Amino acid sequence: MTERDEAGPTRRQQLQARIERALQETPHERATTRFSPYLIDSGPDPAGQLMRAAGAGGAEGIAAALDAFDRLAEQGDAGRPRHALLAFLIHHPDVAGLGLRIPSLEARSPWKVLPSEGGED
Amino acid sequence: MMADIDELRQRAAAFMRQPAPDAAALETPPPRFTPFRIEDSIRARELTDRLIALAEGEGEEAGLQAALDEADRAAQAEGLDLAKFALLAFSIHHPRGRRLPVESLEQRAPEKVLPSAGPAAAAEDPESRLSWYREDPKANEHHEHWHVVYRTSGIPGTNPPRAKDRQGELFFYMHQQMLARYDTERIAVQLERVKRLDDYGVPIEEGYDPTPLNPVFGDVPYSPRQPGLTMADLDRADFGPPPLRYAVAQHRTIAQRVLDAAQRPSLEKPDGTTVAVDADVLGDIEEPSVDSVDLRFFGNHHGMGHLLLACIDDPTGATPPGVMIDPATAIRDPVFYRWHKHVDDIGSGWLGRQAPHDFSDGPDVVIREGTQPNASPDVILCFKDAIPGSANPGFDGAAFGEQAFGGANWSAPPPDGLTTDELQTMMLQRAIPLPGDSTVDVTYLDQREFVYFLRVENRRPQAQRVTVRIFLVAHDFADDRQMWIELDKFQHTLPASGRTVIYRPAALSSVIRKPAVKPPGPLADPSPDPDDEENYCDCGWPYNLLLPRGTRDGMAFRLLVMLTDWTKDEVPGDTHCGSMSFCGAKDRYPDRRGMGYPFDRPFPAGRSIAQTIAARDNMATRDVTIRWVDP
Repeated sequence: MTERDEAGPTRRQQLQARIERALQETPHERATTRFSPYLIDSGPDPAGQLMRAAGAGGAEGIAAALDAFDRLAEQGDAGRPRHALLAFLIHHPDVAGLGLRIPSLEARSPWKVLPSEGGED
Repeated sequence: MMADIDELRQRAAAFMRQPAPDAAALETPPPRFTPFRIEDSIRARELTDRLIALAEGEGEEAGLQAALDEADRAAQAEGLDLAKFALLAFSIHHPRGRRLPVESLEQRAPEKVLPSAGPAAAAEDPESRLSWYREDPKANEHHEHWHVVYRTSGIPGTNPPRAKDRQGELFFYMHQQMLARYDTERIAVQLERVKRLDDYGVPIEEGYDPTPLNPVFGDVPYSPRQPGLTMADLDRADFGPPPLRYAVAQHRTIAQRVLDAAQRPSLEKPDGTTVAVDADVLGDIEEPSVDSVDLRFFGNHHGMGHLLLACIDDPTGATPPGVMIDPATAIRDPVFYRWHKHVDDIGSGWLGRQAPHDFSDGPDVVIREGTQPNASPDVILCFKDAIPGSANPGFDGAAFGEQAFGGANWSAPPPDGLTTDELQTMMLQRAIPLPGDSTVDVTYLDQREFVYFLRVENRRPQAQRVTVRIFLVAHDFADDRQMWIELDKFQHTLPASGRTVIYRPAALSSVIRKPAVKPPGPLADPSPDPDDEENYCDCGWPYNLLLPRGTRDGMAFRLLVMLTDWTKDEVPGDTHCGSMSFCGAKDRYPDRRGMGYPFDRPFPAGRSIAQTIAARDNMATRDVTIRWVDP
């Protein structure tokens, strides 16, 4: 039985829904965050925190990581935790095995892919 | 008198269609509203809450009427934009509100969805000819995703933190390939190639305004970058505490340090050990990554370039930075490519000083060059829809290729209508869903599906495993190795002493994200195979952008097919997830050669690229045309 089978469809759907909510960035959040991956941050790596939180592995581990994300995001600027969550979802070995996906950029933040006014076909 | 639901819907629609009053004509114009200002978003939410409370307080129609009365009042007292925003939120999110269906943006505010001025706009701003390319949603997603797979802070959870295998080299290579593609698109629309941004004191001529065509969400939170500005010292309290302070002079200093490092054979780490300089070490320094030889000394040249350019309009203020601040949007701005051409100079400069490749280590195979230059009979292109039976689930392309081009047909002209020397692209439109059931149309490039049939002869009496490498270049730039675009790389086993027809769909390309899905196709489920590189399924260049667009009249390109000795490359089998070329693998970059081989380093002195290729039996070229056609 794979991890995906053990987790069950409802549990996976719940996790997927949490992931999608967590990764949605609103224009307001973007306007007010001062996080950028281009800035070197010497502080503790929140992605590492999420990896540690997911120590139990499997669906429970992913859920625990999402709980940790929620706590980080509640502290104010969600930009950095959100980027850390992306990294966690890409690098943690159990995420894809459970059938969990990162929604496309246009699903997470459709306003980021709108054509500018100056475009020409 | 109580209105019925139809009357209420008409009233709501009329309210949303109201044009904004002329502020100059009002005695006391309301404050400007934007949902991106915290105070405004709070006021809007408070109004939405009042609308909800009114809607719930009485019978359904009476409640909605009371809510619309409140919206009218708020429009007078607090401003129409705020009232519209609040009513929209009520209509989208509340069960009773949803009885007032929200019309599409083009119905509510058609002036907001008009396309750009077209050729006139392009005449004013030539860079807008390639807005469709820079703003492609999938290209932006690739760039964002790549920077999360290959993080500056290393693989999450590693202690001490470490970067992925050959991350520095791949940082240079992935961006260099983006530059080659963008330069090719620029040529096609009569723009000059990207001009490097290496003088930080010179005004940047071209600006970029990300303001969307369809501001459903209001203003986007990235400030426009005005043309004619020069990099300026940063002093941004909003990035702190502590404030972000960074001087352009400081940036010049670290730029020079990195350039100096690229001239040295080795560098000393803070712990006194030395490391030989190569493209990977330089990339780790330049990006930088956690593997930088000395982060304190070499700093963050690439990253702070993004910050300087993102904040160029307001280096000491607090307005939202421009799109360069965010990997998910940075490639929209033309200055991204100018900045990265400067960044690329570091890696490509070092590579350009290395010894030329010795192509004598090629496998003992023949892919024929042909009787005419750049007309290899062994590099065959077919449109997938022109191949009989190709749409059938059980279609065997290899068997078809052997039958059509192998055996007795090895040197025969191909059947009429089966092969092509012209690949085709087209501009399509698709709708991106937005909250509230509205959509916005985006224009994107796509290509008519094609496949390669490659005829190869193995001269050895034993089976040989080879790596097949396919590149494309705009014909006029065939002598510039930095303009060659990688299209594919895969392993293949050639039977002993045999002639083989290799069948290769373009959809299996090693550079694209896989499974190869064109927008707006749904994403496939990641593979449940624990040995699969499924974590990187979402990483790779978009399939719809595999080919450059070309031109309406047909643009000349050259295709190279090169076979190399797999025992020296160790390129793994195809991944059905992600891009092998741009996203590597979990543990080791899947090619022992330099990235971009054979174009990563100079070709042998005294010979052009074309002459070198012509002299090698394991390489062959074919000229092709790429034509932009109507869908």
